[in-house]
Amino acid sequence: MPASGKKIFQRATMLAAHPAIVFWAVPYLMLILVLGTLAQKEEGLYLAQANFFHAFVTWLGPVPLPGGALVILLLTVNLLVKFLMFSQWSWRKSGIILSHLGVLLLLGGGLWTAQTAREGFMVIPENGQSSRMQSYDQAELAYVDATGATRTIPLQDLQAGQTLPLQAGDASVKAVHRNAGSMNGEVVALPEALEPDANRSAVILQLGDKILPLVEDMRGLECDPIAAQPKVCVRRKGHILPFTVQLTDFRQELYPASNIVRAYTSDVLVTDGPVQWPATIGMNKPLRYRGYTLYQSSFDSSQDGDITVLNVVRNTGRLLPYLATAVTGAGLLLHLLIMWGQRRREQAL
Amino acid sequence: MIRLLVLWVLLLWPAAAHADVMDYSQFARLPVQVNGRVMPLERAAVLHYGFFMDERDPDSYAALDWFAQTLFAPMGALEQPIFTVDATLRQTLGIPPTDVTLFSYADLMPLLAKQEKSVTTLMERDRADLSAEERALVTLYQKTVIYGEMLRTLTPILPLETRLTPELAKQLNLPVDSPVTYLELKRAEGKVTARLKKIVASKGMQLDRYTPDEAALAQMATALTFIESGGAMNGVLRLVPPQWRENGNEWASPWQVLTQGKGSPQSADYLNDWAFMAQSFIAGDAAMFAATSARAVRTVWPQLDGPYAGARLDAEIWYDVLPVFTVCAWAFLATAILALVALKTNTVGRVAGRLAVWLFAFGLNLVLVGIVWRMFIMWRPPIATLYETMLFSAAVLVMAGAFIIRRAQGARLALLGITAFCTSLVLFISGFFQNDATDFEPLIAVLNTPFWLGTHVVMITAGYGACLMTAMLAHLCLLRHAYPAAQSRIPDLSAWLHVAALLSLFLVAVGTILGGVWADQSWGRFWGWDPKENGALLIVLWLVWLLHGKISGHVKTALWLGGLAGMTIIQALAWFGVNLLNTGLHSYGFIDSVADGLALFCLIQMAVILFLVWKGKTRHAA
Repeated sequence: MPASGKKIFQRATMLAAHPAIVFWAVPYLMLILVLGTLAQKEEGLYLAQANFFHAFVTWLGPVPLPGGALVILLLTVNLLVKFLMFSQWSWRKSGIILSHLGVLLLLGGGLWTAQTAREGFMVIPENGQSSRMQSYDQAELAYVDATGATRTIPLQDLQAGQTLPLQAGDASVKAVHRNAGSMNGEVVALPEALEPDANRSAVILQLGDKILPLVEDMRGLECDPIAAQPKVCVRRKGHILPFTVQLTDFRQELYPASNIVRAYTSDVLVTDGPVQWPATIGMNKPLRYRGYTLYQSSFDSSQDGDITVLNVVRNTGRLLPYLATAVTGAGLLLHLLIMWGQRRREQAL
Repeated sequence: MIRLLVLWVLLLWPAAAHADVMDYSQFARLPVQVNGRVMPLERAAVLHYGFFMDERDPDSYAALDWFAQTLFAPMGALEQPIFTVDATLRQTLGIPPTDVTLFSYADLMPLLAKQEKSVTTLMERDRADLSAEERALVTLYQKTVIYGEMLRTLTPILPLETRLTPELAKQLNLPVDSPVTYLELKRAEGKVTARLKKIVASKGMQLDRYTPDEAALAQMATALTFIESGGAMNGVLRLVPPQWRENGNEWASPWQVLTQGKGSPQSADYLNDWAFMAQSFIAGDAAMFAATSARAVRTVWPQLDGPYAGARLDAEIWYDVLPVFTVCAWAFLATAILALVALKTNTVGRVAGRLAVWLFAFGLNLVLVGIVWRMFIMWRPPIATLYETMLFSAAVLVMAGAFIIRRAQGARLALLGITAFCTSLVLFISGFFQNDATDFEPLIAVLNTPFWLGTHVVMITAGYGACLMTAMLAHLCLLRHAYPAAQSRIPDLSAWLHVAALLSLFLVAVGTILGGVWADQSWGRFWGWDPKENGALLIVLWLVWLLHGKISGHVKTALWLGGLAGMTIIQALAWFGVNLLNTGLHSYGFIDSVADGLALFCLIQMAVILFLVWKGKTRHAA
């Protein structure tokens, strides 16, 4: 590398690792944290996260400010450069180095998860089964077309006036609602819910001279357009899992002589090809299989029985925070012990 | 309708004879399953008494006396005034203006019967949508329903007021000279029914044509029907331990034992003990009551499940008798006052100083005893509620303080006094976060995991205690910095402050990350920007900022000391402030009506810190 290039590189790394970045960025991050937390009350968790913590730019009215993601990225670069280029590799600083490594693992794991993790939910009635992980915030229109193929259109791509070639005939889209309800027997648009998973999407079609209001199932149960009449329905966007889960029993255990819930448990049958086996999913006891983790999220009841709601996550970076915990903890403890020993030596002198 | 039934049914039992003072010491030790856990009857009595009277910490003896009256002499209990009714509700119910503050079940029943339709409608609506008055009406109605069930708990074994002639009693194989219970009557049901059929066939339904014996038979038959329908579904007070493995850990009320096949020869013996207790209570025989209660304890205790189950019941009774943490709070406050007096360098000061040290040691030991005591009673890690986080933090604060006091060089009495004062403050404030006088609750589903309760929660709460310690040391350093006179009273704690800050960072950072790991196990995501998570992160970032700033030289003395002293504000916001938002997955710890106190605390703290920082700066500038 030419001398001038080396100098530029050195200067750049010194700037990138400058402690002033921590001094100014961390309190700003705390400010974002406080503002974003307060915003959750009015905007809901999802929107506040998107506007403050996951955003590179946060808008306070008309004023653009660095968002949480940008500040965290800045701090990550600062720490990484400091760790690689400016760490004092001595026994005395080993605790600090280890702690910094742990934090880098945590931040790296967070970045990996943000980019690669997939999250959704499954709603399964007792004796029902599913292999479809539904999206929390995206809906689609699913229909069988004239050729007999099942097609889907994301709801955000649907527009009023659009024609859909259903098997039963061409249907015209009259209205698309992100969130809808029923009033006097008619489907009406509602304000979007604070949390996207609370929205119930609806599409109103005209098929011939009939008006066809299609609303997502209130309980989140999936719809299969092949089974619907006519063969069209609104549902959450989904991802097919490589296995099927059948709910054999859902149990809500109460503490005796009380209404306090002690445990929620779903007894399931997992089917993967020719192999089938029973499993239990409960609070703090998820099911892990083929890179997916199924958690007991909530439940519902119907005339036909209980319905379990499972949170489904695929996160290849899941173990990084565990590793980060161990490394950061060890580092901080080591630093404490080193400082303690140093103090005792000074006192002895 | 059910309330009329209760009234009618309860008229079948005699009122209790007057007894001078009953000995409830053994009665209190009997176990009962309420709200999901087995507790001593003393605790159940206090909880229920407080519930009906809207009192948080009622007198234990009064509660037991009322409880015994309710169970053994329900007719007398009908007239006992225990329900509070607020002014607007009194108007709704049509109660004329009166100085009376408490009303009895018998007073309220006819008034509530008129409101039954509107109450039923209100109960179908979401409670949050009801007005304060509507909520009060629904609550009062629900209270009377619960009380009605409590009154019928022991009806199968209570002696009935029957008027059987000796001949009739012999014919029915019933006791001749002693009272008859429902159970005994039930055994004679076949004969009673057969004879009654003949009477009705010959004389019809006109009671005035019946002989006294025939009238008594008719009354018995009717009583059997009404008692059974009054007892059906009765399960508020579960006095009988599970007798069969298939019952799991679900206890049963006497009625459930009789009607749902949950009984055994052991439970029959136990119910006999209760019957004897009832008889002695009704007769007003205090000595016999104490003896029969003791016998019941001997019968039931071997049936208790779980390690040291009986000892844990006794431990809970003693815990209620001796308010450990209240005693600690006052002991520490007294220590702080004595430490202040000890600033005088005369005999009084010296004596006060010694007393302060002894009282501090007493308080420290008692706080630890209290925490272990709670763990023993609940048989789980020490922290599961907001109240318990405060107790544990206070314990960590005082232990850390004791550690530093032992090792610090120079005058340490002021440090002892400040530590004691801060600990007493935390303990007094904790009282506002108790659900009841003892705050023993079963764990909700998401917290029902001893491993994570014992790791994440303990670590982060210990971190809170360490942060309090750090803030306290920082205040002392600020005082030294601002007032030269303080330097002779307060040792140089700057090195200790650094260690405390590091320890706080270690505990809170690792505790927070462990919380993320737990969230990954429970909810499928390590971090969700939940308000509680953000609060913990705020503490970590604050400490990281100050520690890094000190190393890099950006944070000078004033900011270092002021920043660490400000940990109290950051921590208060993270500990309590986030709960006020009532959003996110950690909403199980929510509280209300502390916003004003929190805001006031933060303002006062900020003012104090800013003043001390300014004072220190001006002194050093001069």
